[in-house]
Amino acid sequence: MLKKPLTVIVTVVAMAVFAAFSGVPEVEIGKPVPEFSLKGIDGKTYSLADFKGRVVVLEWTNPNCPFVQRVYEQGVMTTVQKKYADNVVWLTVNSTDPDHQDFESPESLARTYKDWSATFATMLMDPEGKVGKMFDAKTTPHMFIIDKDSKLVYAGGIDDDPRGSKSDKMNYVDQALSELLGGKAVRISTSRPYGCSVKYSS
Amino acid sequence: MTLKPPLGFTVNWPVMVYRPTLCSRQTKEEWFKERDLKLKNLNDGFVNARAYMGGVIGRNPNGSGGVLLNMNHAWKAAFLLLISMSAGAQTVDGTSVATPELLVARGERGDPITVGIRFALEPDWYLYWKNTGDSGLPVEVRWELPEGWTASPLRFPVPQKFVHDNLVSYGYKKEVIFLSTITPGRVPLTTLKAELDWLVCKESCIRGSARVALPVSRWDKNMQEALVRSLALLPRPSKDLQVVVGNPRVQKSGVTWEAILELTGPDAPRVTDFYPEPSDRFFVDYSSIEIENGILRFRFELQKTDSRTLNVSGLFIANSKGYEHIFPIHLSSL
Repeated sequence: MLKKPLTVIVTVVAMAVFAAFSGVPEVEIGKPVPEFSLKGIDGKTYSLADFKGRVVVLEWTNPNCPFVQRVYEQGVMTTVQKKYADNVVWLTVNSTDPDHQDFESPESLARTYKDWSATFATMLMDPEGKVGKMFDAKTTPHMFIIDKDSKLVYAGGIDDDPRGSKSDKMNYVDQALSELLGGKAVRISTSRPYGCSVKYSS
Repeated sequence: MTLKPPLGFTVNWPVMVYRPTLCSRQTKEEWFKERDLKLKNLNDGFVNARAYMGGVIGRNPNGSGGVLLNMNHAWKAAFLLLISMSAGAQTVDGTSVATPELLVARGERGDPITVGIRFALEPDWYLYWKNTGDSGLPVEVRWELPEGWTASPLRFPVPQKFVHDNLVSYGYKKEVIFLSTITPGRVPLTTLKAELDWLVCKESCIRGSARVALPVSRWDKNMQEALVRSLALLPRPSKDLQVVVGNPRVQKSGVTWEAILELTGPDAPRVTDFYPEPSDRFFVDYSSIEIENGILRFRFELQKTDSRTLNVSGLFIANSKGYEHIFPIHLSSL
């Protein structure tokens, strides 16, 4: 009789302990995103608190990843960046390990993304991967949307087309932003991110 | 320039578009220098071939050059063929890290044909399983078959699991053979052809593509043996592993679910891992999959929030072999 409730209690306690000690991300859909600050490629330091009251998009990126190259070359990313340029703060985040061959200097990064006609506020450099791991960013690209109250409302892929070959693709970020700015709830708040792995320093 | 018979001239077409630091540590300048050198070699080859032909025509004692002129056409045709062949080989950064070829098992006329696509991989480079894990893309094939012929979807061998920084990939190193069954139509086949696209990764990833072809006349016995060996690497049916999956329990925290399943049966203690197949209804946190004391746990999120029952399919891994399994998970409102 007592066995089952006990199992449940043990499981719940175990899960709580697990969550507390195992680096399960602090960032969760529907919950406020913890404050963080990082240096941008322009040399300035940016904090999430700087953008309070605005919608923030975080885009994990690495210009040497074929998926990132594809979403920029096909205009998948830039179309959404341009569409919401006046209404959201778009930040790219680079969590590449400085010792990894994919790492590039701020100057070289600025040049590459300019060539791609990218429009974002700045690229944040996260060489230790602290913020990347906090968000559990897995791939480049991996997209996150934070609403005006600093709550996470979307985490996942830019769209549902990893190969870039679908004719009827669904752009999750575009949809979520249009819902959010139209005062509606975000219907799809998670999707499977796709891309290259984030090149974290270990 | 020395005049060599152009027979020894192979065309290695360089990649023309600069992809910074994809798999080499070259600087941009070095990369362009290497490409330009390759282009120069290519051009020199053609110049040499033309000069050689000119020399041969010049020495023609009859002075007519009629036959030799035809030969000139033959050389051109040979060059075009060489170019079309080498354009298919993956030459990203000039090094090929993943080389595909076709294998065919000859059967009775009209019987379905087992076809393999073998990739030889440079050390440490890997290709992906159909569920790539946290990143990557599986190999894609487009068969070019005569009318009436059909090909089955690719069958993937049991992959290995690579974990780097809590990010999981399922894939293959060194060599992998993907299989397909081709059902013949009425039109005869002279050459089996396919177009391949793949993503190959080590520390970074490169996309590759190639057109592979195998004339029927070159199908041989050795290929059959390789194919038989590769059939043994495919996942086995669930009946080969005596494991019973108990009624799954689920719990939810935010948008994240956790499934807890008890594995029983004689073979349950041998099961060390579970590799889920891809699904468009939910996605698994691959780093959370664990089997301990006969309990399988993993976390997942729903892609479609209206899902009530999920059919989870995947491979139970026991002694590095994989066994297909499918089980339902009912998502009750907690």
